[in-house]
Amino acid sequence: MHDISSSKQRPICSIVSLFSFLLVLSVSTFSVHAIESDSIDENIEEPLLSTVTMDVDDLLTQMSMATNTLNYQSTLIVYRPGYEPIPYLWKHGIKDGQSVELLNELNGPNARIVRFGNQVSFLNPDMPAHSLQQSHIHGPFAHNLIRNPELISEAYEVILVGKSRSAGKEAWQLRIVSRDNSRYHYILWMDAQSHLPLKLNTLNVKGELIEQVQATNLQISETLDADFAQLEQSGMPQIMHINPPKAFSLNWAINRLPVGMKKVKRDIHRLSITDDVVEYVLLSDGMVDVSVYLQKASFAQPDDVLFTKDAVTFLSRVNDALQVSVIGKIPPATAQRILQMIESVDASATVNP
Amino acid sequence: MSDKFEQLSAWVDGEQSTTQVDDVKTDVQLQQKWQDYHLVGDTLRGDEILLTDKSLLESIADALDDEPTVLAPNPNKSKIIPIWSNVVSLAKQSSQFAVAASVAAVMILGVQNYNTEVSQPFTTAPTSGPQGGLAPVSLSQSRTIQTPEQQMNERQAVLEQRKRINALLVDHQQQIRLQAAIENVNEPKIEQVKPE
Repeated sequence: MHDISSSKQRPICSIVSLFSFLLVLSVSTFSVHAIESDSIDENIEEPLLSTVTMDVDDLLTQMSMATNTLNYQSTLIVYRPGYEPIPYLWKHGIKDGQSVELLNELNGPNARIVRFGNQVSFLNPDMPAHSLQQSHIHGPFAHNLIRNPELISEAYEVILVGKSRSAGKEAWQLRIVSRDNSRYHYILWMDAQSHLPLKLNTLNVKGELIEQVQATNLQISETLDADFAQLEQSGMPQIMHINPPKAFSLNWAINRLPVGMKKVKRDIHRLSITDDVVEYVLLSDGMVDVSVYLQKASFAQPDDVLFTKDAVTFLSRVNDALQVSVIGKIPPATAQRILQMIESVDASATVNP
Repeated sequence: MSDKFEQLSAWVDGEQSTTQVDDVKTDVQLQQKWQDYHLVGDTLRGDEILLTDKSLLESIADALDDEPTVLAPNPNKSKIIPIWSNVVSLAKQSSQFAVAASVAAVMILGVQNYNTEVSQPFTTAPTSGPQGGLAPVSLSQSRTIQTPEQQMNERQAVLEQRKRINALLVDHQQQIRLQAAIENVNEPKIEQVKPE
């Protein structure tokens, strides 16, 4: 009996509860609407303000200023999926009016690269110390991006994503996107205060991470670092001058290149390991350098060799006893396209450099 | 005595200890232990070990020589709990039989696999994966049954290809490194190359 009476009461209960629920719902949605309509008026101006004050070109200019003029030191970790992370110590300062820089690999043999102005010295226990005349050290961060951003503008578009946090600092996040989508993409984090780079991700076409440079700390100081105070330019090895290439002509050319990629160098040289003579062209788009080799092949290779190691793509094809190889930090598809664009040209028509 | 070593061990591990540097300096016994503890620590951590002192190796060898060879099992153990020991040994035996049987089965399977494997034509082109560089040549690439000469030739071919690929990769790195130098030193030269 008890059961029946309670079951009769149930529908009434549920109807009441449904009504009350609807009431609450309608009130709450109404109040949300009210809040939204209030906040819209306030928010309209804010994003506009930030886009006006923060221009991408401004940020890049400030970054190149900062990397070239500040006294700073940073620990960088270079990570490639599947490989061990490599830690580096990176220091920069201004000594006697010129820019000095130090890059030191923290693991393994104590390999150091020191730059005084345009003199770069390689101090590596594995090879004799030597100096070259160069404007920069090939460090973990793409040097043109952080020093001469205008040199990458032809091949890449830089987009400001917004603010985030990296290495414990507030950071601007920038996307560096290839204009014809034929190169890897990059995401850069830049310290919002000092405008120094904090992190750089390299992504493949699928958006997967293939290389990451991450600063774990960044210190900016007023005074020159003690390491630089000790180092003297006179103590560095003499600058080695590279002989200019002799007159030669290549009877091949790459007739179409990806957007923003240029021929930087052409020569004929010997490979240091096998002593093979190669005809060589170096391409660059400011961010990445791509080598194209042409050499005689005394062996058969029915299939193309294609692999990626340390984010570097290697592609080689043997055709008519000639081996053509394309090497660089570019997607395999782009390497293939460059290889296909190689054509033989009349040797007499080419200009000797 | 043992407390002295205990304290030394704690000191070596960087824990709180009463041992001082001067204690070790004066005590030859402690010095010996100090070296041993560090060696043990290095081994456990998997660090590279540099044996500068042969005395440890010699003492281990001596200890092994002195160790009497046990030919018969100790009869005392089975006397303590006779029933259980028999049960255990039975269980042990059966498990050993099981292990032996499975090993035999795996061997038979393995042999069958090995023999039925289709001999594929060898491809010199590794088309995927990070295979370049200084990676050691894998023997698994030539698993089909071949004459030793063929195997030698193939291994040689793979080695040579690795060497060629490596030479190009190394040269690429060198060229990238040298690039900036030429940009600066031979600025007019590069201008002549570009228009082409």
